Amino acid sequence: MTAAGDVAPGRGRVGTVAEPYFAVVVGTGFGGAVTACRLAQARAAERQADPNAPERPIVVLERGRRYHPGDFGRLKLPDYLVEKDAAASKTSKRLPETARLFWGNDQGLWDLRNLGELRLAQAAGYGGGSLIYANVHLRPPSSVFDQTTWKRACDQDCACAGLDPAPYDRDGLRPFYDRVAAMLELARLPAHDRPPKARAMQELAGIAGPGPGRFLFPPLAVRFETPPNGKNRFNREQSACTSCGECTIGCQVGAKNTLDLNYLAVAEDLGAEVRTLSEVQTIRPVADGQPLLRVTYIDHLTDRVEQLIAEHVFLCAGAAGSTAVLKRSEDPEKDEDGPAEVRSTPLPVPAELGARFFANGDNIGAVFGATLPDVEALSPSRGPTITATIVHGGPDWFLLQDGGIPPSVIHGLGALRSPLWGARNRFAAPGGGGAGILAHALAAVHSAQGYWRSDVTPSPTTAVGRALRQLIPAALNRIVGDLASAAQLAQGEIHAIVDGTLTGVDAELGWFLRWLRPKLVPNEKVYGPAYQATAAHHPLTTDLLAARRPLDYAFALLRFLLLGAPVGDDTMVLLCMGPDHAGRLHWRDQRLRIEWKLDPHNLDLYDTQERLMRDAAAKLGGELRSNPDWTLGRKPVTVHAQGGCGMAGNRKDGVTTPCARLWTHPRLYVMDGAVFPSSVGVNPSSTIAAVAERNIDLFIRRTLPRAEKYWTVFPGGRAEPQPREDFDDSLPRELPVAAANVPRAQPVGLSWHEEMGGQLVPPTSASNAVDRGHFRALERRAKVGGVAVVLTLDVSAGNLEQLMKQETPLMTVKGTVRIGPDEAPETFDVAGDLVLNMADVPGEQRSSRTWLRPRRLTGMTYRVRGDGIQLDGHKVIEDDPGIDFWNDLSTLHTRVVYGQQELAGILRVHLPDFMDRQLRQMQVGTDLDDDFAKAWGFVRFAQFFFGSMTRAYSDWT
Amino acid sequence: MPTPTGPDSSNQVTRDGITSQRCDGELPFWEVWSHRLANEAPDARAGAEPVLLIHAATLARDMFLVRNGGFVKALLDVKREGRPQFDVLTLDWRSSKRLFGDYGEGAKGRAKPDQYRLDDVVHDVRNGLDVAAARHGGARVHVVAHCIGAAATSQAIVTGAVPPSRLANVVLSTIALFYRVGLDGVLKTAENVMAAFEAQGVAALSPYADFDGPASQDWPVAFKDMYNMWLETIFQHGCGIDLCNRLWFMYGGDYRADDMQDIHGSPELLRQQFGAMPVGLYRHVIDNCRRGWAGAWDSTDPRQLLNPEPFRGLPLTLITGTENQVWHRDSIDRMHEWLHRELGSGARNIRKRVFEDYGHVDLWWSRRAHEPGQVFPYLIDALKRPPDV
Repeated sequence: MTAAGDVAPGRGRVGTVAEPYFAVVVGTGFGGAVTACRLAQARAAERQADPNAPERPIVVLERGRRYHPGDFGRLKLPDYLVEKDAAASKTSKRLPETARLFWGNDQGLWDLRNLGELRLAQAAGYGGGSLIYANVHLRPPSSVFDQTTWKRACDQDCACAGLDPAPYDRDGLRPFYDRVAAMLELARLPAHDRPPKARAMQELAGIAGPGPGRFLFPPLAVRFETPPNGKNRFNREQSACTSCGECTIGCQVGAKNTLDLNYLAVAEDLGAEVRTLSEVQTIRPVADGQPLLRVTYIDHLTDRVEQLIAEHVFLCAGAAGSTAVLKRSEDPEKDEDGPAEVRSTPLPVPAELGARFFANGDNIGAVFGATLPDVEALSPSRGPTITATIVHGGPDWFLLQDGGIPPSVIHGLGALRSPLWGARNRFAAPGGGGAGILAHALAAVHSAQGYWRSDVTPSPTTAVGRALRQLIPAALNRIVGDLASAAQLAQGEIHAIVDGTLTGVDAELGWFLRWLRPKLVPNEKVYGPAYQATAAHHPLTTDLLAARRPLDYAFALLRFLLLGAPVGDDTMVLLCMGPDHAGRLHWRDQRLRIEWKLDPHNLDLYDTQERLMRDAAAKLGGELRSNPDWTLGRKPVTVHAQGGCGMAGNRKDGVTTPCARLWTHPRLYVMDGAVFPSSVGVNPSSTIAAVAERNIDLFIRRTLPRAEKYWTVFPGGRAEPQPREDFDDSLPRELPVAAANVPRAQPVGLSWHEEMGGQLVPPTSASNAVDRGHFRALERRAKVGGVAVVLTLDVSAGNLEQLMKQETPLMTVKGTVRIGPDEAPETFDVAGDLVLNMADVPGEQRSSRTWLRPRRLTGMTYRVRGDGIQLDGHKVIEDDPGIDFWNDLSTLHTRVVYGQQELAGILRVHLPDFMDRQLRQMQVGTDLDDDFAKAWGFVRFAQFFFGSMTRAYSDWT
Repeated sequence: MPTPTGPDSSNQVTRDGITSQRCDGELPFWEVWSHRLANEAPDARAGAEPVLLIHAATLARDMFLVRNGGFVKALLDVKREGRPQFDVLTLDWRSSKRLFGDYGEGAKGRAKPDQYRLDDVVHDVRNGLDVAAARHGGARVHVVAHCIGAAATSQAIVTGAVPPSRLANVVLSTIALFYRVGLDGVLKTAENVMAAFEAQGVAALSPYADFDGPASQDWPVAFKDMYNMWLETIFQHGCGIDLCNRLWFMYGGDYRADDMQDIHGSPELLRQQFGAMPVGLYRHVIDNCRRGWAGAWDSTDPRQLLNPEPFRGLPLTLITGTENQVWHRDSIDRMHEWLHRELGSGARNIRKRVFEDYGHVDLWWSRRAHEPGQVFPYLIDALKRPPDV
């Protein structure tokens, strides 16, 4: 056995073809840490059993840095942007300190990637995601593993078959989950330590539905008590959690049970070599036919490309990272791959590489201005990041969790309230809200305008506005009213933003303003009354005017634009996650890009999550701001990426075998969440580690059979960990636990009133609904002796977003059909649907911003039914010569069957009716109190409808 | 006796009775502090452990004496079993303010700045070690070095000029072999500026507009133009003191003044500390900054000095401040990362501490530095470590 503290194998001695590493582990997240630890233990156990066993050197390559308690980077703002006394402000640094925070900036901790239609956040550091995750260890419900994708066994001869591998289900994985729980020393947040946000979550539990199993405090990999002698059982220093809320930017006190303090500590103590700041680029087979792999990596300390040779490679670089490495390895060797001491051949990869990539249904929102009666202040920075979980059951279940935010970045949460979004991501609680910050700003502008403006002569803006209002037909007043109502809210928003920001700026730049204002006294002669008037309302504006160093004020203004008003203690972050459908990763221009399906499931999931968060906001008495990137750009963000190298029973359907070996290379394994064939829907760390435990166990039993009970080889060696019933049942195995509440918050809907009339006659032959000539002939014939028919309908769609995403958008109609003369009509109550017929536009790319495919409107089909009556109508949208779009939109080719009679012909919408009734009764935002959401919904529908109309009447076909 | 280096190897005896030799014709300046600050006989600390303090470029031994004896006094006060534990020596190497003055004509200004690279400082460091060891019968010497003094010390260890076997505990402050600057210190990476000055025969750059120098009364025109532009940017210091702005411009933010307002508020005190920067030395430092790590001047192998083996088992303490604007804390972070990576368990004696809310030279000058848990107690604790722990 290699004793703890032995000198690790030096480079130059191993890592060559003559003396390859036994194993290279790429990455130190949950997959890599488990793999490295168990390999090191197995090697030690093997040598314990047989001192003459080969040394089997192991190297762990990690692209990020090694962090210690107290060593994580923190955002440092220049002193002149934070409150300081005057003397200190004179000698401070001038730029924000962001080094070590982001991977793109000197190999820092957070790696934020734009995959095109998805944002991805992941960690880069020794310990991987454990350095920044929210410590939650939940086991997914059984339904996740019931999917056929997890059930498939190898359909080829696999060496694992004889080892009786554990099935992928809750029972099969349970021993491995228990190992993870034991190694990470999971614990529950003590009742006496529960922060206000945890109590708020308890208050919110009812919103997801009745019954038990809806609410839980999940097991956390956090130490809530300092261990005896200050060291954990892996001989690493740790101390108790201080509830500082900094879990996601690196625990400075060593209370998080991060992987470097347990799994990786064991691996290192048993002689595994660790090379940090070593970013793997490719893994390719050695060219000379030996069963070896060549790993190339960039050494970020010396800016050199290095290579080493190994018998086995375990790729654990995260779902996106592992996929990218395999994609790169598929290409032939290039000069920039570094010195070709050993030649390599391209790595064959399965065609499914990149497929089945999941975002785990991650969603984020923040509640501002919460006023929960029993909780004094939510204190979003107090306590571990996540303390509680609410289960929204149902077939499409998902979890709602609280999210803490570190004090040093809490102002960043203000980005959700940035004025740049125009409040499009705002959802006010019914009856709540009040004047927003935009309103304050606009009111201030009006107030300032008033100084210069005579009461008699309107300003040009006002004059133009009045003129426009005169020109707008009265029929449009309703829509104008909606928009005006939204504008009023906007005014409120602006006012509050300016108010809040100026208050903040005054506080933060106080020393400067105190210094500056006396100096401006002589200048008042220059600025005159305008300066005085503006100064009363706009200290920020006047300071900008008077600033000698405008750059300083530009920063203040930028902050105002980006971050809005300061974030207070009445704020709560909400997180959602649930099983989602997959996208596919592509490798273009040496970058990963993702393609998402136009997937109704995902849209439903995000929509329901948002509505549940709105329910939570309403219960908390605040307003919800959703992720603006999603609301505006339809780009979700995930911190739980999975898949890309999915397991499957055959090479046609997957990238890796069920024991995580690459289908196309016998010595290359993928041991992280990249192998998941579906998303687990819960915080995935525990499952990534458990699956890695399962698969490295198979590898060890197959390759190192003498290493029995290898996991006992660490300080204070112990037998198989005891099953933890309490952890196993944290989340009910069987979901749904009960029928879930449908969120009370309604989606943005749409409705209008429509009336069409005309004369119909019995048809002479079967008619084709799009045959205009036939129906025009019937219309002509009906001028004499036709039967009057009036169709009156209320058309509605409960969810505007869903409507626009549907392959064939479908709306609900309800109304009457009146047949016969005005004095004695026969009236039928009818209901049915209106179908918007769409056709794809070839050659035009789908908009990644809206997930909308470019489609053109080809027609509208009405299908209404009533007692003893059936009406089918069709509008044909076609670009004929001349301006015919009104004619197309208002002409319904109609066929009515009632009783024994059949009538056919054309019903038309008359322009006065359209202007006076249809438009007037058009409503966006059914059952929604938020005028802003209504207004933006109207804009979205207008974009959609008129966009598809434009395509119909342009040359794009 | 140590092996003489440089063309002139004649021995000199200092006023403390130390026999030393010249380096390139210059005599390093020595002080032994036990009898000066502690009022002891010159040989009273014969059995104590020698500690050699190596200052930063353009400063002098005085940087360790700020605030009534500063770190020197703190070391002299340390007792072990009732007896003084340390004997403290300081070395004024060739760019010392005491030797080099404000610009070559200072109190002891006999240096040849235009011929002077970082490699040459290595000789001074080695001599310092020789002197300290000789004074204590060849004992291992503790070394505490700051900034370019630390860079030279680490280079001396890597090149073998100072064998690890002669070192006890080593403290390298703010930089070692890796050179990282923040955005506000980018002048240090400006290509060709110093090379052009060197070609023009500019020997050194003084932080004072009114210095009494041999060639001109102020900076080269190009340097002044850069400075005037820089004054219009957000990077400038803001306190209005010309010396502060010039230091900030030349090196980045040299200190975080919050906890040393008494010194910062006294231009005379600052002027006692800062001297001129030899252009040749500056040019070598810029080369290292642009590369990202130390390299010997004119070496054909850019990674020649990236050899971790001499540090194996060496009790080494790396320190810096979170707000360091001269050398970004990443300079120390990377050194620490590199040693741990390359040496594995051979780096178990290597520690790092990044002091919260400290900048660069205020690590030594802050009024907080002597408080529990702060710089001086931490370093004293580091120097007390037995060599085998």
